Amino acid sequence: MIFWRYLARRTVHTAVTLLLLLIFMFTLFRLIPGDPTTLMLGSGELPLEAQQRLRALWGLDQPQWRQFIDYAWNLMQGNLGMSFYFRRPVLEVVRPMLENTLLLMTPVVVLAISIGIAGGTWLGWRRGGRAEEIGALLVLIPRALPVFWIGIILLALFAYQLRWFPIAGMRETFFFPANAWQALPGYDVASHLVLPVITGVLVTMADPLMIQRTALLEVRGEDFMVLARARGLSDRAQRRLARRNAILPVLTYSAIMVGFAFGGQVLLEVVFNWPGIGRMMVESITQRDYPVAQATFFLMAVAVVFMNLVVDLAYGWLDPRIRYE
Amino acid sequence: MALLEINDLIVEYGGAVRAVEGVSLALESGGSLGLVGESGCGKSTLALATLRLLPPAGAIVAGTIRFEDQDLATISERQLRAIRWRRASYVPQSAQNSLVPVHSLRRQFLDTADAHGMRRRDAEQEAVALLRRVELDPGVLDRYPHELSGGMRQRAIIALALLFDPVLLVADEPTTGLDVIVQRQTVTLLRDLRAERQLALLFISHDIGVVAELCDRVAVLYAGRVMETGDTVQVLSEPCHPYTIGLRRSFPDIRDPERPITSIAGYPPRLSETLAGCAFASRCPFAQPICRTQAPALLPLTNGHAVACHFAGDAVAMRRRAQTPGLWEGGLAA
Amino acid sequence: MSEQLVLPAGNAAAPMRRYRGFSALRSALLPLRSWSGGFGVAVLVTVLLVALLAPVLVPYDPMATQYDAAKQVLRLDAPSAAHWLGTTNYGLDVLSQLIYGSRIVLVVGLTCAGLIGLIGTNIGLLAGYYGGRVDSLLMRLTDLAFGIPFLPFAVVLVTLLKPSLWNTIIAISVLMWRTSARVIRVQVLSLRERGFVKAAWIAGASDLRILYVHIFPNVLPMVLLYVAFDIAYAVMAEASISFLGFGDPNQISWGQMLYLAYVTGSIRVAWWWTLPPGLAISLFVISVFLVGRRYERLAISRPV
Repeated sequence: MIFWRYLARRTVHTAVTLLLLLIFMFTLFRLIPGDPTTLMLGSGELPLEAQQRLRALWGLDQPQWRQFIDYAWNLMQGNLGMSFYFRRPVLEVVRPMLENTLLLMTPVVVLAISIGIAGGTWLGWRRGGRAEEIGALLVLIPRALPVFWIGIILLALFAYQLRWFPIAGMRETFFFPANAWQALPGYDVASHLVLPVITGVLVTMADPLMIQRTALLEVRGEDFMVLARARGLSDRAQRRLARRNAILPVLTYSAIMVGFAFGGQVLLEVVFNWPGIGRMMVESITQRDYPVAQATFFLMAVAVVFMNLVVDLAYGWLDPRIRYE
Repeated sequence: MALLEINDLIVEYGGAVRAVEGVSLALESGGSLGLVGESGCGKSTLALATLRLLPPAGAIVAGTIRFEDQDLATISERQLRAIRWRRASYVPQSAQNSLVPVHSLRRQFLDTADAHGMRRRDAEQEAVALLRRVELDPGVLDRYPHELSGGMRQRAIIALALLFDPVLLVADEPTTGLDVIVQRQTVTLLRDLRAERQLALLFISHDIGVVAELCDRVAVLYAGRVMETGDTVQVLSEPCHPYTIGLRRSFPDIRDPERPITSIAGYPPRLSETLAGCAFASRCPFAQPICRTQAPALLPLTNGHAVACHFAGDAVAMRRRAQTPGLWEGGLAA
Repeated sequence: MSEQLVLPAGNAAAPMRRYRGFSALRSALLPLRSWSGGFGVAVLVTVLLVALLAPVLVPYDPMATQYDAAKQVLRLDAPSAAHWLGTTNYGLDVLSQLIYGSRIVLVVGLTCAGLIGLIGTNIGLLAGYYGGRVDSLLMRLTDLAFGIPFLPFAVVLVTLLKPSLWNTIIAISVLMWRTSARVIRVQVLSLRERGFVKAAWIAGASDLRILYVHIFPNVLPMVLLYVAFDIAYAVMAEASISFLGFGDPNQISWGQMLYLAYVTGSIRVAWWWTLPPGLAISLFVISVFLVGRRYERLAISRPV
């Protein structure tokens, strides 16, 4: 019962945050110089009357607050407006990009979290010593490397020099399978996925690993671990108990990581020319296509905020002590 | 043949700090032995060491722990696991965090049962029966530890400890931190359980009053060494070691409320330093030069009463002199 | 295992450890006691020195086109005696650019970390101490900051304000305070209940006094820790913004170098152009992490 109240409270809180974000974002984008009328026609000069008609068409002659209400209303109905650049509904433009981002980030997140939990548990369960310290250091190093730099190096090495993997993008424009292996469905996309996923995992696995390790080290010293040993639990059972009690911080972080990941890893997508919403976001800024920019921006924000809500709820469910707050 | 016999046990932390320095104890089947001493005297370490539950930094360096024809100090972890909880249980200090916070009590009972191959159904039955015995509503099985009060948690742990009807219960300060009423309930419970089940009890506490009530025999620890041991009534009414004498005087006597309570000036020695002579010498009002150079051995005085003091024979005189005002605060007697 | 009598619970006197002169110095030198810490310090000191002495150290003007003997522009020239790290696509000396890039790192790193520390700490202090509506408002603001995607926002802001170093610093600082705000707030929440705070309150100390004279010194170690790590994050952020092409066109930063290398398709061949800047960024960030980790012991394991 108490859990449902908690859920209701958090959901309302989230909704308010999203609304505030929308307002903030809307204002921000309105401040960017550049207007669809000037963009659509490049450097050409339009007669004033035509300009006015265009502006009316796009609803740009309304007062700002009115525009906002219209926008929000449309948003709730799933209408994200029209792209200035593509002349198509934003939703149509953005949706495939979103799918592509999901395609890229899902393996990254899953692998990073799995490696993180397993590695962190392994490192934390050992009694701590030189090997463990070195292991921790080794894990921290990829974290410090710029993701785009790793991408560049991997590309230069494996794509250009060795030609093991394709150079960029998500699929080849024209793809002719050279053998049966390549003829498998999805091979093209899969081969394009390898380098970006490796890069993404390298950079993002360090945090969950270190969090799990720290949590496990702390849990090891807890009283209930002593009693678990006294009760005669096997080493495996003890380790599982430790992992279960240590896992909360990692899960919290994982959900947040998911939020950020699906928000579009801009750098990763740009380096590998992956057609996802991260890359789309940056491009749309350059193109002054602000309906698209706005939509992708908001989508990213929604991903993060939503995952934060999920984290709060999961925490309340996993740790019975939290529910009473 | 004693149920539990510890001989010359030495326990070190980090290879440097000696928490237990050559302790020898014996506990009969169904008997009860109380371990008393100040904070840091090594009694908790001793309790943990008995069942080899020391943290990674701790190690049993020497000595034996004979329990049911096995030396717990040297047998393998696998053999130990067969003994833990089945033959000997451990009830920890401050049950606050000793139960797994994210598991229900039922889960913890079942996990313990499962670790030893007990069937789920039997475990559930036993759990309910035990909880009733410790006067807890069996509905508590579906609760989480943080939902119970301190006293309830302590009782739940005691119930859990009896799951396999062990012959030995090592209780490490189980009443510390509980209010007096709950303390009383816990002590009564333990006493009754002992009588019912022929349960041997190794009871660690710094509260002499509780030990006096619960334990037939007592051992007084100081700086990791046994200073005096024997029948509780005898040791407490006629203490033969200066430390015990001083301890005795630091507790109020209900028969003599006017008697001033004195504490023993000074601090216990740092365990990282090796000592020559008696560990208590620096604080003992009766210390003589020999006390600082030669460590006294634990020698039996009368039946079952052993003391580690060069001047145990002068106990009567020491007890009388102990009443001199100002003797214990600052400074040694001439 | 305590070797002394247990002190009575609840210290009414301020329990904070005032870092007296000598012990402060010893604490400051802590990283030097380990290999990793020593390495980190060495790298950071090197970067500092290079940045300060850049005009003196640099072999060529980083913005000046280099020519070979035949008066041809030295495009994408591999490392040679004349140009230790070769030249870029535009014929500029890579080493000189690398050296000057260290200045950006320092300016951005320190300024951002300072600003972030300032904003984040104060928000955390105020929210944690006053609670109630102030807390709600400030935390709502923080939630907002968390919801805004970092790079996209930075990109938008820089587009708005025109790309420049100062605008990049603003773009970074305007959001990055969010983590330390939350962390400091949590610390303040627990400190607020301590005996010494209540004692000060009863004694009639004003809120401001309690906040900045009593509470702040106790969160200071945590603040410094986050400030230290923020230097690394800020540098990484600037490199990312530059890599996306939104960096200050008039400055050479390491991220900017990578941007140009990538965008001109030179990553295929010019390893001398792509490796050094990335390596420099990596070494800098790793060093900050290594040194920060040493101080972490101090900040976290305090008995207070």
